[in-house]
Amino acid sequence: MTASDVLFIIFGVIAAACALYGVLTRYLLRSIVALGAFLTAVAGEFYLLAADFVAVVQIFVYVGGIVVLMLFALMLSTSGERQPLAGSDRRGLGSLLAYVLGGMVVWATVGTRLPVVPGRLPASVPYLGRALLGGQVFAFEVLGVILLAAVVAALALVRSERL
Amino acid sequence: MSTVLTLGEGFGLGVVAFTLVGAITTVFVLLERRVSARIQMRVGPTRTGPHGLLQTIADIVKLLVKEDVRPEYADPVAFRLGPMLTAVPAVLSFVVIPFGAPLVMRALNVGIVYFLAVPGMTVVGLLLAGWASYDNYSFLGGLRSSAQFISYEIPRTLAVVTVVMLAGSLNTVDLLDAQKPVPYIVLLPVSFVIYMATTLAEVNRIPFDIPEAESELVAGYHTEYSGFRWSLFFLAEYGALYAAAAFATLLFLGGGNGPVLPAVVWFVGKSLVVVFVFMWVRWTLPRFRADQLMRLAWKVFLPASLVNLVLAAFVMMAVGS
Repeated sequence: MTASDVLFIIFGVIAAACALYGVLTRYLLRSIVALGAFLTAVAGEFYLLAADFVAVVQIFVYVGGIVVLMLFALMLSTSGERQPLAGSDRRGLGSLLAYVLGGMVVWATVGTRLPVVPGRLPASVPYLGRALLGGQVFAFEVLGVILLAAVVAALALVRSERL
Repeated sequence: MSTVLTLGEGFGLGVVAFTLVGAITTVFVLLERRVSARIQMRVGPTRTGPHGLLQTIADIVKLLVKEDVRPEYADPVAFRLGPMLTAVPAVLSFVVIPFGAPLVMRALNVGIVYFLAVPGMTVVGLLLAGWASYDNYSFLGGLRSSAQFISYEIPRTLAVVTVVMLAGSLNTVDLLDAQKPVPYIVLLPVSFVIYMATTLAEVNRIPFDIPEAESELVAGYHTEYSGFRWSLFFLAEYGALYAAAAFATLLFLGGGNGPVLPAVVWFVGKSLVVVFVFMWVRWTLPRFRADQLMRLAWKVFLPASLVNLVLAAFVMMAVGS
């Protein structure tokens, strides 16, 4: 087992622990911070898997963007009070959905035969760039339109509240 | 170079980076006090040691032996986590700074994206610190600094994108080679101006220091902190300041490229000049109001950087073909 394998396992354990804590804790702030730690650990896994660009973008977008936005929303809203959340009455449905989703992920991971590349992978950035603006350009543009629609919708919501 | 360092090497690099940030902070605090004093026709600290050189050392000793105070209602976990999460990204960004041939800790293939991404984690620390203090000044300071950081990050990234387009690489070492004939400040002056202005906002310095505006918020997010935890915020601030100056050197001033002297000397020299410009601006300009700050980011810097990006792309296509 190389140092890389050891680190991979360490990051995996951290990620799993943070994910569990994030779901189980009743304090919203702690669960957001746990989410941030989870995402950082996953970025570490990406880096160890030679996807350095994805790892860095993971931190850029998720930790520096999404987690910060969540913290922001929490602190600006009334639920930012320091009380623990009450339990939800939709636990059964939620856990059912989680099990189904988890089962699908496990099934897809175990069932897929991924190609094995011997030796070091070449830099991933040029391939990603060509794929995003080449073969996958349609999906890329659709995502852009969806995000734009979300921004416009958010603005519209804020506006209508003010009027 | 292998993907992963051994744990020992990683730990060693961490210690080196942290020591570097500590040393830089010590020197810069003194430098800032002397520079500000000169600009305001004062002399600054001169009594401790020869020419006041030991002033910050004395300050550090004072800070380290201070009592560790925590407000009664502060959230115990978040209050401790805040300063750490603020200081760590500042230290981490030193990993990709290419001081010169032997002094690059890691030449990542995505070094430039890394440099833009990692300081972004600071915001989580600032928000936590402000929120955990359970104090209106801290809370407002935390919210303001993160709002400011997020807003100025976009034009800043767009300015860096033009550099990446011109160099055709995200690797910091390739970028230096691409600037061998002519530094990018000549080719991309608008990007340079946008980068410098937005960087001032990102490291929370006047004229963009609204988050800790003394006249309004006491000290912003670190109002309730003292002793070692407070000094972590200081480490983060000056560490980020030097890292940002080093990246300005790398992106626009040709890094360690220069005649006769070794690359390290050129790199450090150029970056210190940039640091001096940051200090000069700080002690010359008044501070913006919070709403002016946001308007400037979204209505001036963002459109300007978008236009700059599109123009740069067109020029590159025209020249390239």
